[in-house]
Amino acid sequence: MGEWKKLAVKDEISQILESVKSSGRRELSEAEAKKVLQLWEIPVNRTELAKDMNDAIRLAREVRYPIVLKISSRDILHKSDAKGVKVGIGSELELRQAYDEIMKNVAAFNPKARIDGITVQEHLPAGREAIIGGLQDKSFGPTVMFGLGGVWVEIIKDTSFRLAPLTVDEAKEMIREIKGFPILAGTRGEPPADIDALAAIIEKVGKLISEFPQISELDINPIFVFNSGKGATAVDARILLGDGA
Amino acid sequence: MPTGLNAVLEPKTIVLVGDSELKKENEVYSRQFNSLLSNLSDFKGKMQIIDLSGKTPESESRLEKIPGGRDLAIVVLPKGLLTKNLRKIVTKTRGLLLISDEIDPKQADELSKLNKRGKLALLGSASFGVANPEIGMAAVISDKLGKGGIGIVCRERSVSNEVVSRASELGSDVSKMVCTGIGLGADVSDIVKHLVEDKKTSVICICVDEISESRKLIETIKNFSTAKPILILKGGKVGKIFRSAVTQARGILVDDIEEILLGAAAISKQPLLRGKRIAVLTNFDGQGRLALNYLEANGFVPAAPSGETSKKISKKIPAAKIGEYIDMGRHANSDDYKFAIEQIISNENVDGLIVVCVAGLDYLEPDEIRKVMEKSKNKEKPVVGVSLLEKLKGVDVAEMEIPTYRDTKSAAVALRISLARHEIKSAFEKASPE
Repeated sequence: MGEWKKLAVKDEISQILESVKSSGRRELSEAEAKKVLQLWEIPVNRTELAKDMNDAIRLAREVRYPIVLKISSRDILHKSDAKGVKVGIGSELELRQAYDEIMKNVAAFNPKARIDGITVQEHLPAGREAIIGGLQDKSFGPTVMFGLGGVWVEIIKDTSFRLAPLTVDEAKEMIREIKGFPILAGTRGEPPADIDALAAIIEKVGKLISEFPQISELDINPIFVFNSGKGATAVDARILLGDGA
Repeated sequence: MPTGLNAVLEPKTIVLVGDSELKKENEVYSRQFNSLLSNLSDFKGKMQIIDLSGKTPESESRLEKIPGGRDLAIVVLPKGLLTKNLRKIVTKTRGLLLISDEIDPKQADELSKLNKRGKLALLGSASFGVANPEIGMAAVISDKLGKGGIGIVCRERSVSNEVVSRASELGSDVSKMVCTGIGLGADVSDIVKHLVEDKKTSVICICVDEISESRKLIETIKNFSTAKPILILKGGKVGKIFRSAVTQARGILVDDIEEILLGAAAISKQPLLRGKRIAVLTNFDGQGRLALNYLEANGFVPAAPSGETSKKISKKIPAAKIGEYIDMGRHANSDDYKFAIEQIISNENVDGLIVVCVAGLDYLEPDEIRKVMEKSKNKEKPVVGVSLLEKLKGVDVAEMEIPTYRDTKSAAVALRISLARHEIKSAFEKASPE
């Protein structure tokens, strides 16, 4: 990224963060968080916010089936807990059903939840799941975290940390450091995952959290890591602003 | 004329200021003053004593008697006396070591500003002191330390006290020991930078209980760990982030004071260990078996010398049993050890060797032990001696510059740290081949 472009990107990201702050929120919506990542040249799956059913149908045609629908609400932290996510939607008919189901589920889960809409997202082929985090540690300042994603991640806590900013080599070291590394390296005939792409993204997250101290926490969970040479893409993202942001 | 931190750490002129006859709650300051008086008796530069009670022989009782331009003033006074006299002292010295714990906040602020402006090199307050064995400077309130290549920096006094006691007990050879105290002036990072440039220091040990400027310390380690090995011991909760930060900075995190000193000795006195295959040579088989436990616990594998080496050892020492360790039998003498050490260490299946020399049962005379330990010197691979004798009956192992440990567990720990340093160095060399 050239210097001028970098300045423009930084300015645009600052504006997103500022608008979140001025609307009295601390957490960016998923679409906003992904927009920040995209501006920072971190690959994300295409994500568009639909205000109603018709909007969703229109956006689904743009994004192209199959798609994913996810509720967008500042009052719902874990969308899956509220049954607010539907994946692999292959047609307009399925979209209509899924849309209604999500709205019913969310209303049952939290009747008072403020709904911004539903995001229509590109459905990606499954990759190996990983998580990348960033935080402002109170002792060390900007810090990045890496771990394997998926259902066991919270129990196994197989994560590694580095102070940010960090180099791509340091990012590779932190990838190799986790116990689950063989899953990424490829086991039982499975080809290796795209570790170069993953390391490049970790390095970018390190720069992002270092250059925007107003971001107190950042989670990319999951990021799909495809086979070697095929890249990695953030599928869900969360960005939280600090109290003093 | 020493400048900057050198005024505190390498002074040519010292003035020690205290009061040898304080009573009641201040008596501790007199004890510290008297302890410093005794420990500084070997100082090779010029020393002047100001004892405010005037009781110490060859001392002055008035600060006015201090000539200007002293390198270092070491001050151990209670708050009241310190507040009254500090300005008079500071005007006559380039460096200040404040052993005193309490200090008037205004004065603390003034001193800190002087330090930042480079007008006064300051260590303390609440410092345990400074030791620089090379110049006979033992400005610490406890044991003296042997001369060598281990540079130590601690933050807190009680930790420093324990480090100095353990270093003295283990015979660690020290270039400098520095306690920053509460860090009004130089902090741990500043001392690390000094030790990196210090020619006498080959390995740096950092002992901190809490870190106010964690990131600064980690960045300092990162900047210098390729130049010199840096070992770090942190008190309190270590945490995943700190652990990772040390890894990223290419430092070596250790778990306790003994481990940091053992590791430092291994790194400073021997070639680095380059692999995990460790042979054990002993004269009592129980020690051989124990050594295997500790090797496994530290991630090593027992090295089996090749058939040819085994044959040669068996031929020369018929009583030797060669398996996962080599037991030469209780009648092995220094010639046997010499032969076996040479054979084993030159074997390509062996990365390092622990030589156990059980002498406590008097099968080996002190002179024989000395010969065995001398044979442990090797330029290519580390050979660490373990002499199981409570006191080495007049054999000064420290002088021989061989890391000698009191048991096989300590030897295995030291070798683990030696290997960690080798891995760091290799990774760095790989990343920057030129």
